[in-house]
Amino acid sequence: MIPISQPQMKRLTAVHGWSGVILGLLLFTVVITGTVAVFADEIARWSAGSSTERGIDRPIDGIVRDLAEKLPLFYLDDVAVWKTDAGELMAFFHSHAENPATGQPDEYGAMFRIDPASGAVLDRNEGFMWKQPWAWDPSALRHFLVDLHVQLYLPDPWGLIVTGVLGLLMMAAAVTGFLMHRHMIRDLFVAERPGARLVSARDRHVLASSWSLPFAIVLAFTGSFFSFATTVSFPIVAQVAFGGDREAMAGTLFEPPVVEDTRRVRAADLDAIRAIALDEVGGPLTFVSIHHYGRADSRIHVWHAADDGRLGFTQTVFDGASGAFLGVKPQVGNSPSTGNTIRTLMWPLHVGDFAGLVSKAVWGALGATTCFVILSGLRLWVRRREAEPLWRRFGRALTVTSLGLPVAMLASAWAYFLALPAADPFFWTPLGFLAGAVACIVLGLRVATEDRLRALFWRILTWACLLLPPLRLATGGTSWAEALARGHGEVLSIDLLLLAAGGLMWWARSRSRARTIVRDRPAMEPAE
Amino acid sequence: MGTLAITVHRPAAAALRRAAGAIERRPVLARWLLAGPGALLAAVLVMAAMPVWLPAGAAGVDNLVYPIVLAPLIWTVVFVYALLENSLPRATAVLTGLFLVDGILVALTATGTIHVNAG
Repeated sequence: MIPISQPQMKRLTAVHGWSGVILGLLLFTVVITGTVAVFADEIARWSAGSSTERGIDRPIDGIVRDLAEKLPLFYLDDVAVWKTDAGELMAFFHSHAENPATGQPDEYGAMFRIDPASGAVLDRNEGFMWKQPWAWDPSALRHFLVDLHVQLYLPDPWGLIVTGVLGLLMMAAAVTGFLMHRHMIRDLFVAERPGARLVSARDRHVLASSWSLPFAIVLAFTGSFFSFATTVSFPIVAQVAFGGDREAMAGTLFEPPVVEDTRRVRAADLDAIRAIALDEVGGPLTFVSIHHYGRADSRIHVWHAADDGRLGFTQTVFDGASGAFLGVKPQVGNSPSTGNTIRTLMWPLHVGDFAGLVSKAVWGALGATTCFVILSGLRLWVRRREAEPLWRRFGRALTVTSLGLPVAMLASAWAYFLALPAADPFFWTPLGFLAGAVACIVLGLRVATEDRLRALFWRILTWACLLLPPLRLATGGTSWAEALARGHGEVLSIDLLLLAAGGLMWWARSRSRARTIVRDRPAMEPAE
Repeated sequence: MGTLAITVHRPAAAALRRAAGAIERRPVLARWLLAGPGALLAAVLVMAAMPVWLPAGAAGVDNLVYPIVLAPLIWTVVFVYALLENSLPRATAVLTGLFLVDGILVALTATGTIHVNAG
């Protein structure tokens, strides 16, 4: 171990503790929502009312060509094609314009929602469409939960900056925690000392943090990278390397060099390109982007999700006029590089999306362990100071946050499903979360004892979990039989997980009450 | 020769000793400044100067990608150093050195005197 002197240990302990106390509750919010967001795609398919295979698996050329022929050239500057989690095809024909709402350049165009089987246009919307998620995201629940994790539902860019700072804080807590460990290997197998004493709580914290330490560092590093990359780091590097011209830097990093040729030509067959892309790299194909549709200098990028041993997304590039395969393009730059490899690894390392549901489940479990580490660390801090009224109040805030946040997240799911048949789920889902959070805070202020408050939260969580699957089915969600017939395990899995969680909480509560009765009985006997 | 060297350097050495003394008289404030705004500023400057001295690599992008990806790690290294260093004057000297070297590189790039590495 690294030799640490007494004054150094004192400083490390102070930073480890205070960093958690000052922003620990916010950090818990980001980590618990992130743990749920690992399963964002599964939640989307579970909540969207129907589920579908991943990837573009039907012909698209006729659909895109028909739509393009009816649109002015302005809209053909860029075309994006993808399939939603509800199985509908989306096509966004757009160019670039200044968004008056933000004063920034943005993508303006016409977005079509299409039945992939018949090619019929189900909906058409026009505007700065990425700012209007209701038009393209079939699950307001997934959208809300991911947004809460990524930027705590705060406006751009402040949400990202706050979550970036929280990522750095987690790095500080994890690294100082690592340096404070005098016996790292022994701590991996530490047994909890009996008696529900302070040392017992410390043992639990040490055990969980020792196992999750590497994961916490990876998570904090990749998370703060994603938060700061676009808001801070990219603009600074662009300022130094390109005199502040961010578009020039983006071009160097992400765009292959193309000689401009504005002649109109017949666009290449997208289905033939789809077949070559599948042949060259493999599926599933999740996104097709066409630059300068129907022009001689057109380029088509096809995105392949991580699969078949590929850790991250892979991109194949085609000539948009001739349909010729131009090669596999790294995410960054135009030829393989260490920089690209490192950049490509950031996403799978952050979300665990590299070996299907197995790696996601591991990431989810480690995320849950990290939540426990944060809460047990904060609880330890409070227990050492519970004689002081201020820290007792902080302890109450800790209870409200740790149990109230899951309640609020479940409330957002309830609001989503209740709004789905007749109202706007993009409006009601965040409102459901807010209502749940406010209700939990009010309970925290009004319920007199800590034990009663915990019991109340526990009961709410139990019923919220147990009744959510029936609510989903009642509001038109995919039935278990339909999901099984289509081979979509996530619908059944999430329903069963919720029922199991509710059942487990019910059982734990009943057991705890039985223990309390048995413990209290001998004390009453002498009086009798 | 020896006399001349002592005569020339004595005021500078005395000024440094005074500065070190001032830092050591306020250890908590100095540590806060070094590990807080100091570490943040150093991390930003190191990141900003990296495209100048890092090789661009075969694809011509490594010197742009590394600083963006490694920014959180750079901050962590500087922060932990500022926290663990027992000698506050030494920590101040190291961070000041980082500010100066990286700041000068960034300033020279901004004025067009030197250019970032290109692939």
